Amino acid sequence: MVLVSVVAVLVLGCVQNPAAPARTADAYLAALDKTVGAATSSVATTRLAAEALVAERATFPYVGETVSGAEDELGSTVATFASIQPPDDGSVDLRADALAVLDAAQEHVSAVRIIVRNGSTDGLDALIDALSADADALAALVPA
Amino acid sequence: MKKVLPIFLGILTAIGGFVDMGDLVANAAVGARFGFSLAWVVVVGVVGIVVFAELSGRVAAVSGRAVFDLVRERLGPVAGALNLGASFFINSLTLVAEIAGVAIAVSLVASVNYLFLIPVAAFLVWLVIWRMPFSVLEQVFGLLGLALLVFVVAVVKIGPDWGDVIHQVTHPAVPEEESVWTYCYYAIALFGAAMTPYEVFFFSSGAVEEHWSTKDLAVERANVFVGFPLGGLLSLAIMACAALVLLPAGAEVDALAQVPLPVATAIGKLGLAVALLGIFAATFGAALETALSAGYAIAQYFGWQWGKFVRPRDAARFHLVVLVAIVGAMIVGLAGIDPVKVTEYSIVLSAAALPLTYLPILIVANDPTYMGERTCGRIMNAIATVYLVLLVVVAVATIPLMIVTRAGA
Repeated sequence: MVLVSVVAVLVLGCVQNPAAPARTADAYLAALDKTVGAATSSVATTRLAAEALVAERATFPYVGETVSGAEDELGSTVATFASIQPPDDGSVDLRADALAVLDAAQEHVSAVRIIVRNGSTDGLDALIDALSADADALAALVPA
Repeated sequence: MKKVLPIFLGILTAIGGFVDMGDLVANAAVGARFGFSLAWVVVVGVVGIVVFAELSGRVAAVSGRAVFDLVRERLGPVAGALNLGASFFINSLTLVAEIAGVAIAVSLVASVNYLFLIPVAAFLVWLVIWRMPFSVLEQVFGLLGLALLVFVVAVVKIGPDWGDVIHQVTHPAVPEEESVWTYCYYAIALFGAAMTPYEVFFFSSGAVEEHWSTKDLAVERANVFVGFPLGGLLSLAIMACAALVLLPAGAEVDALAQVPLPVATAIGKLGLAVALLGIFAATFGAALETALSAGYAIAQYFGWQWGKFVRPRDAARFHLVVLVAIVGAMIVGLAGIDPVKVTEYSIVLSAAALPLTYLPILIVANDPTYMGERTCGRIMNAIATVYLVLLVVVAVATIPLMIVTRAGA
């Protein structure tokens, strides 16, 4: 019991507070970097799944579930980032730019999910291109 | 011919039954994030589980008793209790992950939220344990797990630059964008995925279930020395698929659904269907093993009658523990806790707790009171001792690395 309690405390201590305040501009940039990584992953997963469906290499149920999962993950990522208090004016501007890109990505991922769940592939080609553009826009948010 | 068939079947079952939710998630996640730079850990882990399983299988075949049973007797109730506590906790986490994995695999075909399917998965796991003979349940899901060979086919179909792949595998390096601590953390995760304790409890208890004796040592060794390494190839194939398709796209694995995506892109719908069948079989088989392992551990520690080789009424407490473990895992799964996170914690904590299970087995395997003339030879003892040191180092490093890296974030 003691061992389990110790492990539980240690493990819970590892859970990153997703909405911890970023006290400096560098810390805010680090949070943005993590957000971009997670968002890029969701966008990439959606794009790969959509491409597989358009190429008739995957089934509608599989792609529907995969994209739904990616959409949930992206929503959580965006909400977490949006809740972080920017520490200065520069970070406020950065936040606005980032949220514009993230919102666009969310819109496109949701659109893919809607089309796929309706059992169609109409419009997916354009969304695949849009998702590629989202990935580029996300990469541009963070200095290399 | 009479001996060849059981050996062949045992090898196939060992290959197909090697992969579970932890291997699926860990290998795909590592491949999508680190490429091939941690492939060496899979090799080290496979050798480790081969050693671990050979010791425990031989103990069971020679003594006619399962590992937990002997650990308590040989090392005393306190050591046995420590072993039991750590193993049962991790086993329970693993069972949650496996049942969720079954539900997710079905959801990817049925397009139903996996949470609705968790009670169905839990019921089916219990029903199979209750109704199906031990050897049948072991072989059916082990053989179905061979469907995961589709990942090997996918790697070939993707057609990577093999020279580059071999170079990455043989020249492991920490990627520039990762810290050495995160690299080490994921190395431990992979290691824990390959060396989960429940596999050993199940393997040794299974040997008693099937009434193995010294005459079956050839089958036991074939399973372990041939089957497990070939099963390890499946883990490497899953990693390779993620490294070749997901990594270049920037997709990190945080859902089981992403694991077969490279197979779909490489082979198409048929490949996807086979991969999903393999994932279902792997997670269902592992759910059976972990549920039974819960029963084995508790019953063997307390000296209760256990096993499917006796009538259920004669092992009522064993079956009750199995049922409670399944229901408990179902309840935790229904709470909506991320199954991938549960899987990651279970495999990392497995690595931390390994010495508690490994050392007692090594001691018993060298004790002539139980083993007669079949104690470990010098070579096996040398390898086993090296691994004991490695396990202690891993166990000491696990929790600090978990804290420093924020569980690999």
